[in-house]
Amino acid sequence: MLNLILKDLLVQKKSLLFALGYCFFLVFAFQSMEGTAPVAATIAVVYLLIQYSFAYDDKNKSEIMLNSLPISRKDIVLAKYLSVLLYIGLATVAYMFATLVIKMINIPLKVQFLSLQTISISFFIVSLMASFYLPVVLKYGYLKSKMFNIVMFLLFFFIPMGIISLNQKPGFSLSVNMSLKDAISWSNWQITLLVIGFSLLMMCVSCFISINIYNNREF
Amino acid sequence: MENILEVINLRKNFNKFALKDISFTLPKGYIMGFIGPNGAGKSTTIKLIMNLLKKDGGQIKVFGKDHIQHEKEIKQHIGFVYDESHFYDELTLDETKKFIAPFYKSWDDHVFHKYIKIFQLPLDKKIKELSKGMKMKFSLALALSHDAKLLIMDEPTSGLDPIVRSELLDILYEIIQDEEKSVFFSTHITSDLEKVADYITFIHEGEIVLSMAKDDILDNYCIVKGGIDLLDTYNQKAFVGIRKTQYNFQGLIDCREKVQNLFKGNVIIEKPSLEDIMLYIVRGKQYA
Repeated sequence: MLNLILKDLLVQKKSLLFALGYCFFLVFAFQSMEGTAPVAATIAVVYLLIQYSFAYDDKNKSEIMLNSLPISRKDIVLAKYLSVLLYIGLATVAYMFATLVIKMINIPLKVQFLSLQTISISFFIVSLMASFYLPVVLKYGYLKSKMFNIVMFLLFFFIPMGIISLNQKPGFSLSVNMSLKDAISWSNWQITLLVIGFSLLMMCVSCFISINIYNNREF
Repeated sequence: MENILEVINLRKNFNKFALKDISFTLPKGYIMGFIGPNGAGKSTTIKLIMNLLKKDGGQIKVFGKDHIQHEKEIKQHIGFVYDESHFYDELTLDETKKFIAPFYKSWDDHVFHKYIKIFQLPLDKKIKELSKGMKMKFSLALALSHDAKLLIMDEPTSGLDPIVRSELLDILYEIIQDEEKSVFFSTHITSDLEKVADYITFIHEGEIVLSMAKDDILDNYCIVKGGIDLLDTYNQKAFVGIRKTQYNFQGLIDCREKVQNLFKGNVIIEKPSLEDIMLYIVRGKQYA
Protein backbone atom coordinates (compact mmCIF):
# COMPACT_ATOMS: atom_id res chain seq x y z
CA MET A 1 0.00 0.00 0.00
CA LEU A 2 2.79 2.38 0.97
CA ASN A 3 4.28 1.47 -2.36
CA LEU A 4 1.16 2.64 -4.20
CA ILE A 5 1.19 5.97 -2.35
CA LEU A 6 4.87 6.51 -3.08
CA LYS A 7 4.28 5.67 -6.74
CA ASP A 8 1.63 8.41 -6.93
CA LEU A 9 4.16 10.90 -5.56
CA LEU A 10 6.95 9.65 -7.79
CA VAL A 11 4.99 9.95 -11.05
CA GLN A 12 4.14 13.56 -10.23
CA LYS A 13 7.39 14.75 -8.75
CA LYS A 14 7.38 17.70 -11.12
CA SER A 15 3.93 18.79 -9.94
CA LEU A 16 5.19 18.81 -6.35
CA LEU A 17 7.61 21.59 -7.19
CA PHE A 18 4.92 23.36 -9.13
CA ALA A 19 2.64 23.14 -6.08
CA LEU A 20 5.20 24.89 -3.93
CA GLY A 21 5.56 27.65 -6.51
CA TYR A 22 1.80 27.95 -6.57
CA CYS A 23 1.75 28.57 -2.82
CA PHE A 24 4.09 31.56 -3.24
CA PHE A 25 1.86 32.86 -5.96
CA LEU A 26 -1.29 32.55 -3.83
CA VAL A 27 0.25 34.32 -0.84
CA PHE A 28 0.80 37.18 -3.24
CA ALA A 29 -2.46 36.96 -5.18
CA PHE A 30 -4.84 36.74 -2.23
CA GLN A 31 -3.41 39.77 -0.46
CA SER A 32 -6.66 41.65 -0.29
CA MET A 33 -8.87 38.77 0.82
CA GLU A 34 -8.33 38.23 4.50
CA GLY A 35 -8.16 34.57 5.58
CA THR A 36 -8.56 33.08 2.12
CA ALA A 37 -4.97 32.52 0.98
CA PRO A 38 -4.15 29.55 3.23
CA VAL A 39 -7.46 27.86 2.43
CA ALA A 40 -7.17 28.55 -1.29
CA ALA A 41 -3.59 27.30 -1.35
CA THR A 42 -4.41 24.04 0.41
CA ILE A 43 -7.45 23.31 -1.73
CA ALA A 44 -5.65 24.17 -4.95
CA VAL A 45 -2.57 22.11 -4.17
CA VAL A 46 -4.52 19.05 -3.01
CA TYR A 47 -6.88 19.33 -5.96
CA LEU A 48 -3.93 19.48 -8.32
CA LEU A 49 -2.18 16.48 -6.79
CA ILE A 50 -5.33 14.32 -6.77
CA GLN A 51 -6.01 15.24 -10.38
CA TYR A 52 -2.49 14.46 -11.53
CA SER A 53 -2.36 11.14 -9.77
CA PHE A 54 -5.50 10.00 -11.60
CA ALA A 55 -4.40 11.56 -14.88
CA TYR A 56 -1.17 9.54 -14.80
CA ASP A 57 -3.13 6.36 -14.01
CA ASP A 58 -5.31 7.04 -17.02
CA LYS A 59 -2.58 8.04 -19.45
CA ASN A 60 -1.38 4.54 -20.35
CA LYS A 61 -4.33 2.75 -18.78
CA SER A 62 -1.95 1.85 -16.00
CA GLU A 63 -4.81 0.56 -13.91
CA ILE A 64 -4.78 -2.51 -16.16
CA MET A 65 -1.22 -3.11 -15.01
CA LEU A 66 -2.02 -2.39 -11.34
CA ASN A 67 -4.96 -4.77 -11.37
CA SER A 68 -2.92 -7.51 -12.98
CA LEU A 69 -0.41 -7.39 -10.13
CA PRO A 70 -1.11 -9.26 -6.91
CA ILE A 71 -2.73 -6.24 -5.28
CA SER A 72 -6.28 -6.25 -3.98
CA ARG A 73 -8.57 -3.60 -5.39
CA LYS A 74 -9.35 -2.54 -1.84
CA ASP A 75 -5.71 -1.59 -1.33
CA ILE A 76 -5.66 0.48 -4.52
CA VAL A 77 -8.67 2.47 -3.27
CA LEU A 78 -7.34 2.83 0.27
CA ALA A 79 -4.04 4.11 -1.09
CA LYS A 80 -5.88 6.87 -2.98
CA TYR A 81 -7.70 8.00 0.17
CA LEU A 82 -4.58 7.91 2.30
CA SER A 83 -2.83 9.89 -0.42
CA VAL A 84 -5.41 12.66 -0.01
CA LEU A 85 -4.46 12.96 3.67
CA LEU A 86 -0.81 13.00 2.70
CA TYR A 87 -1.48 15.74 0.10
CA ILE A 88 -3.22 17.86 2.75
CA GLY A 89 -0.11 17.50 4.89
CA LEU A 90 2.14 18.38 1.95
CA ALA A 91 0.02 21.39 1.01
CA THR A 92 0.08 22.67 4.59
CA VAL A 93 3.85 22.28 4.80
CA ALA A 94 4.30 23.91 1.38
CA TYR A 95 2.18 26.89 2.42
CA MET A 96 3.99 27.22 5.74
CA PHE A 97 7.29 27.09 3.91
CA ALA A 98 6.17 29.75 1.42
CA THR A 99 4.98 32.15 4.16
CA LEU A 100 8.11 31.62 6.25
CA VAL A 101 10.39 32.29 3.30
CA ILE A 102 8.51 35.45 2.39
CA LYS A 103 8.64 36.63 5.99
CA MET A 104 12.31 35.79 6.43
CA ILE A 105 13.52 37.63 3.39
CA ASN A 106 11.38 40.58 4.37
CA ILE A 107 9.33 41.02 1.26
CA PRO A 108 6.87 43.78 2.06
CA LEU A 109 3.75 41.62 1.69
CA LYS A 110 0.90 41.09 4.07
CA VAL A 111 1.38 37.39 4.72
CA GLN A 112 -1.57 35.36 5.96
CA PHE A 113 -0.31 32.64 8.25
CA LEU A 114 -2.01 29.34 8.82
CA SER A 115 -4.29 29.20 11.80
CA LEU A 116 -6.27 26.40 13.37
CA GLN A 117 -9.33 27.90 11.78
CA THR A 118 -7.93 27.93 8.25
CA ILE A 119 -6.48 24.45 8.66
CA SER A 120 -9.80 23.01 9.76
CA ILE A 121 -11.74 24.83 7.04
CA SER A 122 -9.42 23.59 4.32
CA PHE A 123 -9.38 20.10 5.78
CA PHE A 124 -13.15 20.05 5.72
CA ILE A 125 -13.47 21.39 2.17
CA VAL A 126 -10.78 19.10 0.77
CA SER A 127 -12.37 16.07 2.45
CA LEU A 128 -15.76 16.99 1.11
CA MET A 129 -14.32 17.44 -2.37
CA ALA A 130 -12.40 14.15 -2.23
CA SER A 131 -15.40 12.29 -0.81
CA PHE A 132 -17.45 13.26 -3.84
CA TYR A 133 -14.77 13.08 -6.48
CA LEU A 134 -12.99 9.82 -5.65
CA PRO A 135 -16.00 7.48 -6.04
CA VAL A 136 -16.72 9.09 -9.43
CA VAL A 137 -13.18 8.98 -10.77
CA LEU A 138 -12.68 5.45 -9.46
CA LYS A 139 -15.78 4.36 -11.35
CA TYR A 140 -15.26 6.17 -14.64
CA GLY A 141 -11.56 6.97 -14.79
CA TYR A 142 -9.99 10.40 -15.16
CA LEU A 143 -11.01 11.31 -18.70
CA LYS A 144 -14.63 10.28 -18.40
CA SER A 145 -15.11 12.17 -15.15
CA LYS A 146 -13.68 15.39 -16.57
CA MET A 147 -17.04 17.18 -16.76
CA PHE A 148 -17.91 16.29 -13.18
CA ASN A 149 -14.48 17.50 -12.26
CA ILE A 150 -14.96 20.96 -13.75
CA VAL A 151 -18.32 21.47 -12.06
CA MET A 152 -16.89 20.25 -8.79
CA PHE A 153 -13.92 22.55 -9.04
CA LEU A 154 -16.14 25.59 -9.49
CA LEU A 155 -18.39 24.57 -6.61
CA PHE A 156 -15.67 23.70 -4.18
CA PHE A 157 -13.26 26.46 -4.97
CA PHE A 158 -15.36 29.55 -5.42
CA ILE A 159 -18.33 29.01 -3.12
CA PRO A 160 -16.24 28.58 0.05
CA MET A 161 -14.06 31.50 -1.01
CA GLY A 162 -17.21 33.56 -1.41
CA ILE A 163 -18.52 32.56 1.99
CA ILE A 164 -15.23 33.36 3.65
CA SER A 165 -15.00 36.78 2.08
CA LEU A 166 -18.66 37.49 2.89
CA ASN A 167 -17.85 36.55 6.42
CA GLN A 168 -15.24 39.27 6.60
CA LYS A 169 -17.86 41.94 5.99
CA PRO A 170 -19.66 43.40 9.00
CA GLY A 171 -23.08 41.93 9.65
CA PHE A 172 -22.29 38.44 8.43
CA SER A 173 -21.53 35.62 10.79
CA LEU A 174 -21.90 32.59 8.63
CA SER A 175 -18.73 30.80 9.58
CA VAL A 176 -19.38 27.34 10.94
CA ASN A 177 -16.54 27.79 13.36
CA MET A 178 -17.89 31.05 14.70
CA SER A 179 -21.46 29.94 15.31
CA LEU A 180 -20.29 26.70 16.86
CA LYS A 181 -18.02 28.63 19.11
CA ASP A 182 -20.83 30.92 20.23
CA ALA A 183 -23.20 28.05 20.81
CA ILE A 184 -21.08 25.72 22.87
CA SER A 185 -18.16 27.76 24.10
CA TRP A 186 -15.54 25.21 22.98
CA SER A 187 -11.91 26.04 22.54
CA ASN A 188 -10.42 26.39 19.07
CA TRP A 189 -8.69 23.05 19.49
CA GLN A 190 -11.88 21.25 20.29
CA ILE A 191 -13.66 22.73 17.31
CA THR A 192 -10.74 21.86 15.05
CA LEU A 193 -10.78 18.27 16.28
CA LEU A 194 -14.53 18.06 15.76
CA VAL A 195 -14.29 19.36 12.19
CA ILE A 196 -11.37 17.08 11.38
CA GLY A 197 -13.14 14.11 12.97
CA PHE A 198 -16.26 14.78 10.96
CA SER A 199 -14.22 15.15 7.76
CA LEU A 200 -12.47 11.84 8.39
CA LEU A 201 -15.79 10.13 8.99
CA MET A 202 -17.04 11.50 5.67
CA MET A 203 -13.92 10.17 3.92
CA CYS A 204 -14.43 6.76 5.53
CA VAL A 205 -17.99 6.53 4.22
CA SER A 206 -16.86 7.65 0.77
CA CYS A 207 -13.97 5.15 0.86
CA PHE A 208 -16.37 2.34 1.71
CA ILE A 209 -18.53 3.27 -1.29
CA SER A 210 -15.47 3.56 -3.53
CA ILE A 211 -14.22 0.10 -2.58
CA ASN A 212 -17.55 -1.36 -3.66
CA ILE A 213 -17.51 0.61 -6.88
CA TYR A 214 -13.92 -0.28 -7.70
CA ASN A 215 -14.47 -3.97 -6.98
CA ASN A 216 -17.01 -4.03 -9.79
CA ARG A 217 -15.05 -1.87 -12.20
CA GLU A 218 -14.16 -3.35 -15.57
CA PHE A 219 -11.07 -2.42 -17.56
CA MET B 1 -1.84 -34.44 -16.54
CA GLU B 2 -2.03 -31.41 -14.27
CA ASN B 3 -3.87 -28.44 -15.70
CA ILE B 4 -2.50 -24.97 -15.17
CA LEU B 5 -5.43 -23.17 -16.69
CA GLU B 6 -9.01 -24.38 -17.04
CA VAL B 7 -11.70 -22.31 -18.64
CA ILE B 8 -15.13 -23.89 -18.33
CA ASN B 9 -18.26 -22.54 -20.05
CA LEU B 10 -17.03 -18.98 -19.71
CA ARG B 11 -19.61 -16.41 -20.70
CA LYS B 12 -19.50 -12.65 -21.05
CA ASN B 13 -22.10 -10.45 -22.69
CA PHE B 14 -21.48 -7.05 -24.19
CA ASN B 15 -23.85 -4.91 -26.20
CA LYS B 16 -22.74 -6.10 -29.59
CA PHE B 17 -20.57 -9.05 -28.73
CA ALA B 18 -20.69 -12.08 -26.51
CA LEU B 19 -18.31 -14.77 -25.39
CA LYS B 20 -20.45 -17.86 -25.67
CA ASP B 21 -19.68 -20.51 -23.07
CA ILE B 22 -16.12 -21.13 -24.11
CA SER B 23 -14.05 -23.97 -22.63
CA PHE B 24 -10.45 -25.08 -22.96
CA THR B 25 -7.60 -26.34 -20.78
CA LEU B 26 -3.86 -25.78 -20.76
CA PRO B 27 -1.72 -28.56 -19.25
CA LYS B 28 1.37 -27.76 -17.22
CA GLY B 29 4.59 -27.17 -19.11
CA TYR B 30 3.12 -26.33 -22.51
CA ILE B 31 2.60 -23.32 -24.72
CA MET B 32 -0.92 -22.69 -25.93
CA GLY B 33 -1.49 -20.34 -28.82
CA PHE B 34 -4.78 -18.51 -28.69
CA ILE B 35 -5.64 -17.42 -32.19
CA GLY B 36 -8.48 -15.72 -33.94
CA PRO B 37 -9.21 -12.64 -36.01
CA ASN B 38 -9.44 -9.16 -34.48
CA GLY B 39 -12.53 -8.83 -32.35
CA ALA B 40 -12.96 -12.60 -31.90
CA GLY B 41 -12.77 -12.40 -28.12
CA LYS B 42 -9.08 -13.06 -27.41
CA SER B 43 -8.45 -9.99 -25.26
CA THR B 44 -11.82 -10.40 -23.56
CA THR B 45 -10.91 -13.94 -22.55
CA ILE B 46 -7.54 -12.82 -21.22
CA LYS B 47 -9.09 -9.93 -19.30
CA LEU B 48 -11.60 -12.33 -17.79
CA ILE B 49 -8.82 -14.66 -16.68
CA MET B 50 -7.01 -11.70 -15.08
CA ASN B 51 -10.28 -10.52 -13.49
CA LEU B 52 -10.06 -7.18 -15.29
CA LEU B 53 -13.53 -7.94 -16.62
CA LYS B 54 -16.29 -9.63 -14.62
CA LYS B 55 -17.61 -12.86 -16.09
CA ASP B 56 -21.35 -13.44 -16.55
CA GLY B 57 -21.10 -17.18 -16.20
CA GLY B 58 -18.79 -20.17 -16.11
CA GLN B 59 -15.63 -20.93 -14.24
CA ILE B 60 -11.96 -20.12 -14.52
CA LYS B 61 -9.40 -22.12 -12.59
CA VAL B 62 -5.74 -21.23 -12.47
CA PHE B 63 -3.40 -23.75 -10.80
CA GLY B 64 -6.60 -25.64 -9.93
CA LYS B 65 -7.98 -22.74 -7.89
CA ASP B 66 -10.86 -20.38 -8.55
CA HIS B 67 -9.42 -17.23 -10.10
CA ILE B 68 -11.47 -14.82 -7.97
CA GLN B 69 -11.47 -16.53 -4.59
CA HIS B 70 -7.71 -16.97 -4.74
CA GLU B 71 -6.97 -13.95 -6.91
CA LYS B 72 -4.00 -12.49 -5.05
CA GLU B 73 -2.38 -15.86 -4.47
CA ILE B 74 -2.78 -16.83 -8.13
CA LYS B 75 -1.44 -13.53 -9.42
CA GLN B 76 1.73 -14.08 -7.40
CA HIS B 77 2.52 -16.77 -9.97
CA ILE B 78 1.24 -15.18 -13.15
CA GLY B 79 3.49 -13.17 -15.39
CA PHE B 80 1.69 -10.94 -17.85
CA VAL B 81 2.69 -9.18 -21.04
CA TYR B 82 0.09 -7.12 -22.86
CA ASP B 83 -0.05 -5.69 -26.35
CA GLU B 84 0.56 -2.16 -25.10
CA SER B 85 2.75 -0.84 -22.35
CA HIS B 86 0.64 0.03 -19.32
CA PHE B 87 3.54 1.36 -17.27
CA TYR B 88 3.88 4.93 -16.08
CA ASP B 89 5.63 6.93 -18.80
CA GLU B 90 7.25 9.28 -16.34
CA LEU B 91 9.06 6.59 -14.37
CA THR B 92 12.38 5.10 -15.34
CA LEU B 93 12.76 1.36 -15.79
CA ASP B 94 14.51 1.17 -12.44
CA GLU B 95 11.77 3.11 -10.66
CA THR B 96 9.13 0.91 -12.27
CA LYS B 97 10.94 -2.21 -11.15
CA LYS B 98 11.26 -0.85 -7.60
CA PHE B 99 7.54 -0.17 -7.58
CA ILE B 100 6.51 -3.57 -8.90
CA ALA B 101 9.02 -5.91 -7.26
CA PRO B 102 7.77 -5.59 -3.63
CA PHE B 103 4.33 -6.91 -4.61
CA TYR B 104 5.81 -10.30 -5.48
CA LYS B 105 6.89 -12.60 -2.67
CA SER B 106 9.33 -14.53 -4.84
CA TRP B 107 10.85 -11.61 -6.73
CA ASP B 108 14.40 -12.39 -7.81
CA ASP B 109 16.60 -9.40 -8.61
CA HIS B 110 19.33 -11.59 -10.11
CA VAL B 111 16.95 -13.02 -12.66
CA PHE B 112 15.65 -9.54 -13.45
CA HIS B 113 19.14 -8.18 -14.04
CA LYS B 114 20.00 -11.22 -16.12
CA TYR B 115 17.14 -10.43 -18.52
CA ILE B 116 17.91 -6.69 -18.47
CA LYS B 117 21.40 -7.63 -19.64
CA ILE B 118 20.21 -10.08 -22.29
CA PHE B 119 17.65 -7.58 -23.63
CA GLN B 120 20.12 -4.69 -23.33
CA LEU B 121 17.64 -2.43 -21.57
CA PRO B 122 18.74 0.95 -20.15
CA LEU B 123 17.51 1.02 -16.53
CA ASP B 124 17.97 4.77 -16.14
CA LYS B 125 15.75 5.69 -19.09
CA LYS B 126 12.13 6.64 -18.78
CA ILE B 127 9.48 4.27 -20.11
CA LYS B 128 8.39 6.88 -22.65
CA GLU B 129 11.84 6.92 -24.19
CA LEU B 130 11.71 3.21 -25.09
CA SER B 131 10.76 1.73 -28.44
CA LYS B 132 7.81 -0.62 -28.64
CA GLY B 133 10.08 -3.64 -28.82
CA MET B 134 12.00 -2.52 -25.74
CA LYS B 135 8.79 -1.94 -23.79
CA MET B 136 7.70 -5.46 -24.60
CA LYS B 137 11.06 -6.83 -23.52
CA PHE B 138 10.89 -4.87 -20.27
CA SER B 139 7.42 -6.22 -19.67
CA LEU B 140 8.73 -9.71 -20.29
CA ALA B 141 11.70 -9.19 -17.96
CA LEU B 142 9.28 -8.21 -15.18
CA ALA B 143 7.01 -11.14 -15.97
CA LEU B 144 9.90 -13.61 -15.74
CA SER B 145 11.49 -12.32 -12.53
CA HIS B 146 9.04 -13.58 -9.92
CA ASP B 147 9.03 -17.29 -10.64
CA ALA B 148 5.77 -17.21 -12.58
CA LYS B 149 4.21 -20.60 -13.29
CA LEU B 150 1.93 -19.21 -15.97
CA LEU B 151 2.75 -16.54 -18.50
CA ILE B 152 -0.24 -14.79 -20.00
CA MET B 153 0.50 -12.80 -23.11
CA ASP B 154 -1.99 -10.77 -25.07
CA GLU B 155 -0.69 -10.15 -28.58
CA PRO B 156 2.88 -9.63 -27.39
CA THR B 157 4.24 -9.80 -30.92
CA SER B 158 1.90 -7.31 -32.58
CA GLY B 159 3.72 -4.34 -34.00
CA LEU B 160 7.16 -5.85 -33.46
CA ASP B 161 9.73 -6.40 -36.15
CA PRO B 162 10.57 -10.00 -37.16
CA ILE B 163 13.89 -9.99 -35.30
CA VAL B 164 12.41 -9.02 -31.93
CA ARG B 165 9.52 -11.40 -32.54
CA SER B 166 11.82 -14.28 -33.17
CA GLU B 167 13.86 -13.38 -30.05
CA LEU B 168 10.68 -13.43 -27.99
CA LEU B 169 9.72 -16.83 -29.36
CA ASP B 170 13.15 -18.23 -28.56
CA ILE B 171 12.80 -17.04 -24.98
CA LEU B 172 9.36 -18.57 -24.67
CA TYR B 173 10.71 -21.85 -25.93
CA GLU B 174 13.56 -21.68 -23.47
CA ILE B 175 11.44 -20.94 -20.41
CA ILE B 176 9.16 -23.93 -20.83
CA GLN B 177 12.12 -26.29 -20.96
CA ASP B 178 11.99 -26.94 -17.21
CA GLU B 179 8.40 -28.16 -17.70
CA GLU B 180 7.25 -26.12 -14.71
CA LYS B 181 6.02 -23.11 -16.62
CA SER B 182 3.17 -22.78 -19.07
CA VAL B 183 2.42 -20.05 -21.55
CA PHE B 184 -0.92 -18.81 -22.80
CA PHE B 185 -0.25 -16.63 -25.77
CA SER B 186 -2.78 -14.80 -27.91
CA THR B 187 -1.90 -13.62 -31.38
CA HIS B 188 -3.24 -13.20 -34.85
CA ILE B 189 0.17 -13.81 -36.36
CA THR B 190 -0.20 -17.56 -36.73
CA SER B 191 3.29 -18.17 -38.08
CA ASP B 192 4.63 -17.33 -34.58
CA LEU B 193 2.76 -20.30 -33.23
CA GLU B 194 3.94 -22.80 -35.79
CA LYS B 195 7.38 -22.38 -34.27
CA VAL B 196 6.58 -22.71 -30.56
CA ALA B 197 3.02 -23.69 -29.66
CA ASP B 198 2.07 -27.16 -28.40
CA TYR B 199 -1.65 -26.47 -28.34
CA ILE B 200 -3.84 -24.23 -30.43
CA THR B 201 -7.14 -22.77 -29.34
CA PHE B 202 -8.98 -21.01 -32.08
CA ILE B 203 -11.69 -18.53 -31.21
CA HIS B 204 -14.06 -16.94 -33.72
CA GLU B 205 -17.00 -14.62 -33.01
CA GLY B 206 -16.91 -15.47 -29.33
CA GLU B 207 -16.90 -19.23 -29.82
CA ILE B 208 -14.15 -21.81 -29.65
CA VAL B 209 -13.83 -23.36 -33.08
CA LEU B 210 -11.15 -25.82 -32.09
CA SER B 211 -8.79 -26.46 -29.21
CA MET B 212 -6.28 -29.27 -29.63
CA ALA B 213 -2.63 -30.21 -29.98
CA LYS B 214 -1.01 -28.31 -32.82
CA ASP B 215 0.39 -31.47 -34.42
CA ASP B 216 -3.03 -33.12 -34.40
CA ILE B 217 -4.49 -30.11 -36.13
CA LEU B 218 -1.82 -30.03 -38.77
CA ASP B 219 -2.08 -33.83 -39.27
CA ASN B 220 -5.85 -33.95 -39.54
CA TYR B 221 -6.66 -30.90 -41.56
CA CYS B 222 -5.78 -30.86 -45.22
CA ILE B 223 -6.23 -28.66 -48.22
CA VAL B 224 -7.86 -30.37 -51.17
CA LYS B 225 -7.50 -29.05 -54.72
CA GLY B 226 -9.15 -30.32 -57.85
CA GLY B 227 -11.30 -29.64 -60.90
CA ILE B 228 -14.70 -28.08 -60.38
CA ASP B 229 -16.41 -31.07 -62.03
CA LEU B 230 -15.44 -33.28 -59.07
CA LEU B 231 -17.71 -31.34 -56.72
CA ASP B 232 -21.26 -32.30 -56.01
CA THR B 233 -23.74 -31.22 -53.35
CA TYR B 234 -22.82 -34.18 -51.17
CA ASN B 235 -19.05 -33.88 -51.01
CA GLN B 236 -19.20 -30.11 -50.86
CA LYS B 237 -20.71 -30.40 -47.37
CA ALA B 238 -17.54 -32.05 -46.10
CA PHE B 239 -15.55 -28.84 -46.45
CA VAL B 240 -14.90 -26.50 -43.57
CA GLY B 241 -14.32 -23.78 -46.11
CA ILE B 242 -14.10 -23.85 -49.86
CA ARG B 243 -13.05 -21.53 -52.63
CA LYS B 244 -14.23 -22.07 -56.17
CA THR B 245 -13.30 -20.62 -59.52
CA GLN B 246 -14.78 -21.35 -62.92
CA TYR B 247 -12.52 -24.37 -63.47
CA ASN B 248 -11.32 -25.62 -60.12
CA PHE B 249 -11.73 -25.50 -56.37
CA GLN B 250 -9.65 -25.63 -53.25
CA GLY B 251 -10.93 -26.15 -49.75
CA LEU B 252 -10.17 -27.24 -46.24
CA ILE B 253 -11.29 -30.58 -44.85
CA ASP B 254 -10.92 -31.45 -41.17
CA CYS B 255 -10.34 -35.16 -41.59
CA ARG B 256 -7.71 -36.49 -43.95
CA GLU B 257 -9.38 -39.91 -44.16
CA LYS B 258 -12.57 -38.48 -45.59
CA VAL B 259 -10.80 -37.26 -48.69
CA GLN B 260 -10.08 -40.72 -50.10
CA ASN B 261 -13.74 -41.72 -49.83
CA LEU B 262 -15.02 -38.50 -51.27
CA PHE B 263 -12.74 -38.02 -54.22
CA LYS B 264 -11.08 -41.40 -54.90
CA GLY B 265 -7.62 -39.95 -55.32
CA ASN B 266 -8.47 -37.57 -58.15
CA VAL B 267 -7.45 -34.52 -56.13
CA ILE B 268 -4.28 -32.96 -54.81
CA ILE B 269 -3.89 -33.00 -51.03
CA GLU B 270 -1.70 -30.43 -49.31
CA LYS B 271 -0.66 -29.75 -45.75
CA PRO B 272 -2.22 -26.50 -44.54
CA SER B 273 -0.57 -23.83 -42.43
CA LEU B 274 -2.36 -22.50 -39.35
CA GLU B 275 -3.08 -19.40 -41.36
CA ASP B 276 -4.84 -21.45 -44.04
CA ILE B 277 -6.94 -23.13 -41.38
CA MET B 278 -7.81 -19.80 -39.79
CA LEU B 279 -8.70 -18.24 -43.15
CA TYR B 280 -10.91 -21.09 -44.31
CA ILE B 281 -12.73 -21.35 -41.00
CA VAL B 282 -13.33 -17.61 -40.74
CA ARG B 283 -14.45 -17.21 -44.30
CA GLY B 284 -16.31 -20.51 -44.20
CA LYS B 285 -18.33 -21.20 -47.26
CA GLN B 286 -18.76 -17.60 -48.22
CA TYR B 287 -16.60 -18.20 -51.30
CA ALA B 288 -19.12 -20.67 -52.59
